[in-house]
Amino acid sequence: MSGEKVVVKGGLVLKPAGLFALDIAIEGEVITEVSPAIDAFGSRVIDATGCVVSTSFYDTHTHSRYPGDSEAETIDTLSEQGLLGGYQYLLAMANTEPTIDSVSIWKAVREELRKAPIEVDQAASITLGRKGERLVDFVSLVQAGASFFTDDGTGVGSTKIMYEALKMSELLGVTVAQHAQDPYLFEGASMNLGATSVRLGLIGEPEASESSMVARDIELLKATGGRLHVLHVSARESINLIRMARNEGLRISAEVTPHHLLLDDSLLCNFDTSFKVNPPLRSKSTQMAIVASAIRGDFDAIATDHAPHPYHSKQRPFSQASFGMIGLQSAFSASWTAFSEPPASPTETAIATDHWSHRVADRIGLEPYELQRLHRLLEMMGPGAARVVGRRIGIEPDMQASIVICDPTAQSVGKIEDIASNSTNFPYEGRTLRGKVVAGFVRGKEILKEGKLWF
Amino acid sequence: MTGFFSNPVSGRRSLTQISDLSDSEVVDLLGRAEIYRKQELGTRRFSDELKDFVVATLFFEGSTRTRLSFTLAAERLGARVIDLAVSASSVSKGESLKDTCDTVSALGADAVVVRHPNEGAPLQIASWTSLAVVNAGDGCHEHPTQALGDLFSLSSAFGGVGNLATKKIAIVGDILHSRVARSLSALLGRFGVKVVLVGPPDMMVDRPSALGAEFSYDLDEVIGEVDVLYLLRIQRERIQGGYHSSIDSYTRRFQLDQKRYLKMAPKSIVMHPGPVNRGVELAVKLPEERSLISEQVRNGVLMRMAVFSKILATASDDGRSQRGITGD
Repeated sequence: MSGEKVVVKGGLVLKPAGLFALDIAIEGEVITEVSPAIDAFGSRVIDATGCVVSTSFYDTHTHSRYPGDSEAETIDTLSEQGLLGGYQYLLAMANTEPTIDSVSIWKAVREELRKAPIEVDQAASITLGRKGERLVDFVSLVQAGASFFTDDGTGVGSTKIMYEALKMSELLGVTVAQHAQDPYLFEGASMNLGATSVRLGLIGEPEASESSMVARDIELLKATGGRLHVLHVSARESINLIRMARNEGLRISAEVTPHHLLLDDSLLCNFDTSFKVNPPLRSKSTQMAIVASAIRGDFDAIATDHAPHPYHSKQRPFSQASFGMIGLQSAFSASWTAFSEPPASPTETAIATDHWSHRVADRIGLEPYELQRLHRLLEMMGPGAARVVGRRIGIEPDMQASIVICDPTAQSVGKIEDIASNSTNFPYEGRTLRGKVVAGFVRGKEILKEGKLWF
Repeated sequence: MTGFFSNPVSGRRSLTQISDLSDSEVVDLLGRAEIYRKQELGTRRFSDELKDFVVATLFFEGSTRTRLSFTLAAERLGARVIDLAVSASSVSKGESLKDTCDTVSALGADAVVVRHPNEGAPLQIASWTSLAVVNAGDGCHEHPTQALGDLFSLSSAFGGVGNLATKKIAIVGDILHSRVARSLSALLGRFGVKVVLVGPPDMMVDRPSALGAEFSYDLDEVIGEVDVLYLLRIQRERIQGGYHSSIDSYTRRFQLDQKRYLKMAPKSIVMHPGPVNRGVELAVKLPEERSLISEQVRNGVLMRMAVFSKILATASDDGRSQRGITGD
């Protein structure tokens, strides 16, 4: 197969400035040409008519469950879901058993993950055992190759420890990622504080639990320098704080999950533990505000927070069931479905119509404002997420041929049988989702074809 | 949702929260309870209406009174009652709730009465198994049969549900942790009763409007204008376990004592789900005509009979043939 030339024709291609009608030529592992109407003589042609062609996706937030919980997920099932979801890179969190908190563990796990058919990078924890008490050996971990530190699963409660961690980040040029959640405000909570938690009699967590920690961390960032990534943002005030910090020139990035974009806490009204997640699903109004912010460009990345759990840990009374949802395979569809609500303000439509021609939009059966949103979405799933982990990707000549072809108008109904996970904590069961990942290349190799893996 | 929460597989109906019931079903339950009351006044205290049915009681949390009330209700309709002596310990040992209920189901129970310290457990059991589930109190969520019995008491006291529309009730106590307050607010609101939740700020829910109720932190402000004063049981453990209010400050501000009793409207009445904590929420001897407390206990049994009858007897053909087919 080497030496074969492939031309992807007829799609709308993701570029920093927009989605353009371009063809892509691939030879070996790289893209050789991106231009309108490439002569495909002698090449294999992939027809992308009616589709968008994006860089492959990057996930900045995956729970691989390796090591420690192969009942929930294995590296194989994880890779399969990632590739089916259009991903080429996953960043595995450190809240495994044992915690990834030393050079030896980090190295051993990374070696194992390297065997996966998808690139899996491994984060290290900020504190030993994620207890929030003593920093890990940052210097040695960075020397070994770690570049992303997080206690995800819990927030770093101690102001002093977070201060020290951000100092390390500044000193060593690595990223510290915070699961922003005040341990006191979160104590005992199993969902969002709001009308639903009041009716259900469950302890709810206020959004301020997150935003107060984001505010504190931004102050610490100002004092220390360093680079802070805010994981799974779920509170309205966090978004405002992050936007201000970014405008001040601080090195801060933020991600949002597909489920916080699409779902709200009213889904918990029947104590369905599939919807129990941390940070919790928020109110409808917050969810809508998060979508609006994402469309406006307040987030760097969409991250899955893919969190598999064996079925029995969800078949418990609500307050005792595990937090988390699987979402790697459905990330594009779920997020795109969330972006499909009609515009709330006429301004968005007007701006979109100015910048995005109907002619281009019509090619894939979308309105101009939808095209603008789709561009934003793909930016967050690909190049934006890659920037969070320090990579630059794009559909340009001489760059790696890792691309994904998505049909934005195809619909499907979420079914757990279609998900390659060992776990069943899938929140979109029976829900109609818009958009499908149909084909994909990783480093020039066609791994996904007609929605199925192919290697 | 139409009617009782209906299990999609078994077709069995359950009562897990007030929203499982339509207004007409509530009225029907009141009618049935009224029939049982008349039977009780006559000679027929026991019937064979549910002769071939087995009701299991599954109490993951201690309760003598509620269990007795359910047991008596089922036995008066002729059902066999089995009690599964589950304790909180079997839960903490890690036995899955679903496994326990699968056992109950396999033993051949038709209905299971569940009390559980965790919110939502009865509803989860109803969706995981083919059992008909009656919620006997789940954590801080709901206690629907208590509220239905109380509605029955109120309806009798005021001469029919139609007369409740102009009434006002104050529910006083630890609203935050009260499943009775949640079920009552949801149920009474439907019949036009104005509900005011009263308690200290640290015992108040975050959004009383979510329960369709008004709220007040001052009992003296509302006591003169309500038709019904519903006192909740104050759990000393809760107050000692980290609440801001001390028992002293609670009784000073929310106890129904002689002075407050005299401030109540002339024909207003007092209710309490029992057992009363004398000297905490209540410190006055109430004249019989002003208290519904004993009536509530009596009516609780009648209403639970009505619930069993509605869930089991009217769906008996479906439920039983289904069980034969699926062999659960």
